[in-house]
Amino acid sequence: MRQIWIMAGVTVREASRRKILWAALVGSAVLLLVFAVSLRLQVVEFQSRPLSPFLRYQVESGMLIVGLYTCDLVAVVLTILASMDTLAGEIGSGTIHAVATKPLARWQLFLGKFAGFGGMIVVYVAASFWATVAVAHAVAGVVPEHLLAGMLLIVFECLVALAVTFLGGTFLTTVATGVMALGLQGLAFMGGWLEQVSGFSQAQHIVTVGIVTSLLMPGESLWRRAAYEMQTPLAASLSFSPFANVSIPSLVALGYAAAYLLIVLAVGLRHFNRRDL
Amino acid sequence: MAAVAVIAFVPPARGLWLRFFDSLRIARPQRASVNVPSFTGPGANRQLEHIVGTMVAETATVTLDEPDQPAAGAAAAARLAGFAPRLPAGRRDAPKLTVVGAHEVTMTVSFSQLSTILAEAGVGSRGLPRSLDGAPVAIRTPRAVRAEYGSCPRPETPTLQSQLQGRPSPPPDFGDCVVLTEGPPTAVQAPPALDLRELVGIALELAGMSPAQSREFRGTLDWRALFGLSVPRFIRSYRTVDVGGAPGALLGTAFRRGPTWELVWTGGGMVYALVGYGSSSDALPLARSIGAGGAR
Repeated sequence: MRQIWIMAGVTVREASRRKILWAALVGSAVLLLVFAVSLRLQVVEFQSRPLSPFLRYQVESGMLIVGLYTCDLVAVVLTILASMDTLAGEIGSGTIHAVATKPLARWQLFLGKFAGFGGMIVVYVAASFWATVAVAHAVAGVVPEHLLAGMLLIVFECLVALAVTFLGGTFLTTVATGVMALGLQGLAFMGGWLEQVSGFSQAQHIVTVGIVTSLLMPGESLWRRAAYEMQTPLAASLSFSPFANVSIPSLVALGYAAAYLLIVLAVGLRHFNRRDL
Repeated sequence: MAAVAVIAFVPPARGLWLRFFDSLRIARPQRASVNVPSFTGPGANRQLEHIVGTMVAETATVTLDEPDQPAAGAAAAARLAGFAPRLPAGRRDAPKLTVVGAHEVTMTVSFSQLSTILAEAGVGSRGLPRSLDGAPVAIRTPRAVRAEYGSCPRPETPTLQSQLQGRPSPPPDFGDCVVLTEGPPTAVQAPPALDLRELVGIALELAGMSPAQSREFRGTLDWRALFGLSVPRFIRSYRTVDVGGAPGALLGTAFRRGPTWELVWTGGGMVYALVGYGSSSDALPLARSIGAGGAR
């Protein structure tokens, strides 16, 4: 176990040396600024209309969910971009020979790197998530429902993307790993939105296509569950938000995503243990 | 491939797969928004009863959903609706009559959702007893009669082509279109602890009224009479009026493709909603002519 934590620490230091986390935080700060300005403009616009404060709250809550969706998307993409090089790159360049030496077993190396990136993801998601919520509260006075559940689901989504990227890294080159992981994420993104949009028109076949894509890559369905948890009940039911309650992933879908994460990690670990470095 | 073949061709495996597949999404029972009569045309909101139902419960079940039926004349409409419709003497042209079917929805109160919404609305939920959780609520809207005068817009079916190309020709003039809907008020069975008047107020604000307009609207008309209404989405003006001795509310709308005004009042145990596409100055004389003409 100690070796795993040592490897996790090395991974964090390496990421810090390459300024990955800092670049991500600076990028997020810019996004946050844009979000704060837009929300403020919306608040000012509402002040000039005889609109019920209750209705304003629903619309501004909807804007907050859009802001959190941006956090989610950026976190997933950063997860993939930051980690796609860690196995594939080191195998390709031969650096892995210097790291994967006794007494460090390969599984410890694999899980240590996963834990290191996982830890950084938790820090990044927590920072960007709470910063977005704090800005929304300060500017418009809105707070999402079930904050912790929402944040944990976003972290969960990033861990799924991380596991897929690690699996790709044991088979493919760096670029191919990134293309595969982003491609799968794109598939999930498209499936999730098709499902959401088609739900309004009751097009059951397209909903089915959306569910199938969530089986191939469950990331986007985790976000939609997070949005379901965080929206105000009325914003969800009365379609004040693009994430209205149309087709909501169930607890079974969350269980499937957990099983998916474990299986992908296990397959990646097994292949990494057996392959010629 | 083998797994796909087993799922496709082995019935027990296929059944298990379908059950698993269905379980991946939260089952959403049918909401109370099917074929409900709308008192206004384009630009109309959901009915207030639907908005209130959404606040009270997470899901609703439609237990009665009668189809609308055309009626050849006032006598036929009276037979179908169970009451004699009162039509405006101020219009000489023959109306197109439809008996709007009755419908009923049942739901169970979700305490957590209701208390969250009340808190969001600034009403507070401290007086709300927890025993409300799971309490049944039934909303029954009786049959109503809709009388359509003049050239009125038909409901548009949104197709991909129509959305890409827009409207094929300039919109026709619906200036002479007037639609009167009348019927008994909606019956609501709910626990006494559930303050439906307050919820109707929140629903009116959600529908686009300001808090002051919502208060005045509820002060003018009995909230029970408002349940079956759908107020316009874009309210430009609001004033209380007298319709033959009965208080009413005249709403001016700002929706470019919808009706320009809506007049709502109650009288003789009935709820009336008169909607027009022309000048709102026609509203009151026409409404008052309903009393003058009596049942026709």
